[in-house]
Amino acid sequence: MIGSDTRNLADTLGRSRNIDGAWGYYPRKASRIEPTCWIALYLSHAENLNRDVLDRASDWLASRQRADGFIDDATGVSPNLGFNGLAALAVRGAGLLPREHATRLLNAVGRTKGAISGKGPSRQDNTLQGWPWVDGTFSWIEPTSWCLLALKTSPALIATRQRLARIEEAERLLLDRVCQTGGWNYGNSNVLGKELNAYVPTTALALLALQDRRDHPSVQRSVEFLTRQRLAELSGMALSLTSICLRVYGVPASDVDERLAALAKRHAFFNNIHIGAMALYSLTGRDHDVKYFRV
Amino acid sequence: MTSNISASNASTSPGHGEIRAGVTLSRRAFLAGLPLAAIVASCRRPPYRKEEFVLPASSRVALLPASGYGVDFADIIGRGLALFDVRVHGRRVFLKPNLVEYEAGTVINTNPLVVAGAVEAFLRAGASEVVVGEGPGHRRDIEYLLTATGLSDVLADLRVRFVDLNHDDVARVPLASRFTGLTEMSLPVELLKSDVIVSMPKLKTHHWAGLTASMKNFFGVVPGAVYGWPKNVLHVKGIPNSIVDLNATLRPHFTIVDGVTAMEGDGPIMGRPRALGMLAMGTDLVAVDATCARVIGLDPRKISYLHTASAFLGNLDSERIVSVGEPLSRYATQFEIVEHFRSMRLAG
Repeated sequence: MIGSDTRNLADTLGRSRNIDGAWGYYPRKASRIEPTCWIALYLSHAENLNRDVLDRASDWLASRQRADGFIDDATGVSPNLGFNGLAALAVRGAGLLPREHATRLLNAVGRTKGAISGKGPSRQDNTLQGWPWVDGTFSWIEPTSWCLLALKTSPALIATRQRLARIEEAERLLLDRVCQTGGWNYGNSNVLGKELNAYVPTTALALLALQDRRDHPSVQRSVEFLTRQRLAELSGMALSLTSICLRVYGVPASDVDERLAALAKRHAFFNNIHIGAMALYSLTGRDHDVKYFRV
Repeated sequence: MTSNISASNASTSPGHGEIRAGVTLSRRAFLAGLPLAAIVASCRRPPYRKEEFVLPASSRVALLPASGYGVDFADIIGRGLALFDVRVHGRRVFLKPNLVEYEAGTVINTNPLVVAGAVEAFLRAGASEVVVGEGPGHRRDIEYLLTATGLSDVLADLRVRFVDLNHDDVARVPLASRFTGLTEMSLPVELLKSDVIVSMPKLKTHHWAGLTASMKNFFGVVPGAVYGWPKNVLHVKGIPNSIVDLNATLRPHFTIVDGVTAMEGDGPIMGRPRALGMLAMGTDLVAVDATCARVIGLDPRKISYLHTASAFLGNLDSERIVSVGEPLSRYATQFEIVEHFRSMRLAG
């Protein structure tokens, strides 16, 4: 059920749709993958689903798919792999693209790896390859988590051996980068001999990608970190991902949704459509049990 | 082909790659380690059109006192602006503060009160509009940064718009210099359509670049949604290379450096606050950053992006820099710096 506080947000997002059927990060901005996918995730569960709206978002995503399988924001640079991981999750979950398109996208994600670097200034294994934000650069927590989650939630769309190999290496990378406190920073857990702080959104995302490894001590420590810190970063992104993650892990966190609804009412996430859509999906989590994020 | 700025100071892939920053080689050892093709390449013309850049005979830099964050920044910045020939009247001004990360009790970011003072000063000077924008290189979560730092409240009070540069629409822009090997970049349209671009950095040591001030601040205009975080494509292309290419292309008009409380040690995130009590301003960003380097005890000639930029973007030699505010000696001190940059210290 969507409350009255968030109904306004849903209406605002509905009015922000571009003429091409998709959404930009902000009103009157060009359509982009990330906000469009989050809105599609929300809309596919909406009480009064308008199938035409969802179909037009799907058409837009299909129109942006390249021959190599990636979906492209047409910014003139290589596709963003983190956003393609999200797209793969949304495409499969919300049925946004025909199976052959979804398969091409998953295979593109599956064959991409972060660059390897030599021994650096950090206590970590730099030979592990997860996913970079952009091809040719190094693996980071967010794109690795999105792509790992996409592979785990789409078992039938990619060859088993390739899929399992990528999953195994990406899991090792995430576990290699856990901060001392539990949880994750953006890339490293330490640099130049100093321990780095873990953050809420990255931790929630990495935990979603590792939800089938919850017996691992680092995962358990990170769930404890996130539970403790769940209200430490008061933003739509942090609270939405935390809400989804703790729901998947079965940790009660109604206070997270309360704060999220309050932020929606207070400043509507500064008109950021992407964050507004994340919040709507999270705030309606009780209705759909965040099933697209479950492995 | 990538034309590296400096073999002795090129840094690679922060957070992952091998640190080569600060390694000093003798000329003989340097040449011995280079393949012939690289030596030939180094003798070629520089990766920019010399005729497009004119170095001023001298550059003015203002160091103005600001004892703490309770002072009237609009007044100080207004007085600073009056010292320079910056055409503002009727023009749209884009302020680019340094907003990277938030840790309570630290001085990572440009103080919002300095930003507020700049907004007021530019509006008083006749700007038709002042816009503030940033694309944080660490945190994607701009809402968290804006609210945690207090910048959103300050801008709301002033009714000034904030632009999220990480997620803005982009346009392809030919690069005016090509040290990165890139010929074009996709940059935010809200920045590109501004008439006056103002850098508003926090003065900090930087564990990959030595110093971060006016020029390094422009990493923040590179859209993360396009180039990834922490603008990782530019790390791969070389931080000094990227700093020079961005500044050569954007040609910022003015800079206001927040040196009221600066950061020393393991900057730009994990260093310690260090009170300096000044704002540094000027139209020549190389000259302002060179002056800031001297203030904190670093030799600007050893900061590779400043050294390279001094060939075509601005003045670095102290003989070509005219102090129009307080003398440098009033603030000169020695900041702590990370071990691998000890060689950057000013002699004596």
